[in-house]
Amino acid sequence: MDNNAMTEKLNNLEAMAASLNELLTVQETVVAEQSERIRKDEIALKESNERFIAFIKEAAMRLKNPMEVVEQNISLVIDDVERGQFDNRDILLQLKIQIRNLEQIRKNIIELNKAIVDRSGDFSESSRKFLTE
Amino acid sequence: MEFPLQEIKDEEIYLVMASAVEIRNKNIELIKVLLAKEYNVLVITTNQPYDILKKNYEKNGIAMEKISVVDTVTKYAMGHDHEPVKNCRFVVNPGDMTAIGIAVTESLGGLKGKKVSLLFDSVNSMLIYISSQNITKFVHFVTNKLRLLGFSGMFLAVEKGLDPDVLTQLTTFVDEVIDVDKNHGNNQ
Repeated sequence: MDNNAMTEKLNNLEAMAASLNELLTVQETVVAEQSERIRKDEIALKESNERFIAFIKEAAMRLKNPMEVVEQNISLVIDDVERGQFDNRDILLQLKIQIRNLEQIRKNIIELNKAIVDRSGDFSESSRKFLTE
Repeated sequence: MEFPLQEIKDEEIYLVMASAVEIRNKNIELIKVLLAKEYNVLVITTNQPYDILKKNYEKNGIAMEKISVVDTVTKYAMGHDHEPVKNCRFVVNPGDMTAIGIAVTESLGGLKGKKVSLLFDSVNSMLIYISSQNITKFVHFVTNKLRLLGFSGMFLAVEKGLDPDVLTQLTTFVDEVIDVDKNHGNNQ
């Protein structure tokens, strides 16, 4: 092989190395960007899961448990009526309290729905209205 | 006695856990124990209105002389004022923590120098009107007040109605948790 051919081959190899280097840099950038995107997605997913868990817990405490309170209160009112222990005025007052409790539970459902709907773009306008009004 | 409440200590604060079915009876049992120990009792009621509470106490032979009440439900349910009652403060809205806080502060202030216990009935019914985050803040506020004044306190709650994390937070504000059902079971 003469000198010219050797030089040309070396130049080609250098160009190839430079291209590979450039490709590596691009790949590193792409990988870094993808890693960052995955990291952000993971954080968002974690936050979303945490919000979901917090929602379930709060919903249980402010819906399931209050329903049990109302259920228990109404059955106590029935016991009182059956035993004839209270006059009508007292029974009415106790029932009014249970109506107020139920009104508030309904408001709590709307409030909890709003917390979900406001953070999600997945609801149609009609669904949004149905869940929050 | 169905549970070891005779062992309650002065100036200590307790979280008393009971089943939903038993909570009204436990209110009466606690009041009886506290009065037998010569406490003046401030009841914060978030479920039973004053008139019903008073009748239930009287039916169970409990005199109202040493009992004062902060009632958060009567005015809200009736939609108008209750006729004034000497030993009761009526709060307009059970969700208004500021108003309840003021009523509790004033009532406790009026009992300074006496042997006092507060009975909160109940954490669970208050959860209808206040978020778990705010109820934790409120219990913290009340327990701080009690400690500053050297008073005792009982917070009634239904265990199954509370998220374990909230329950853990509440237990940090009290000296002891009394599980009435568990103690009742042990005694049988």
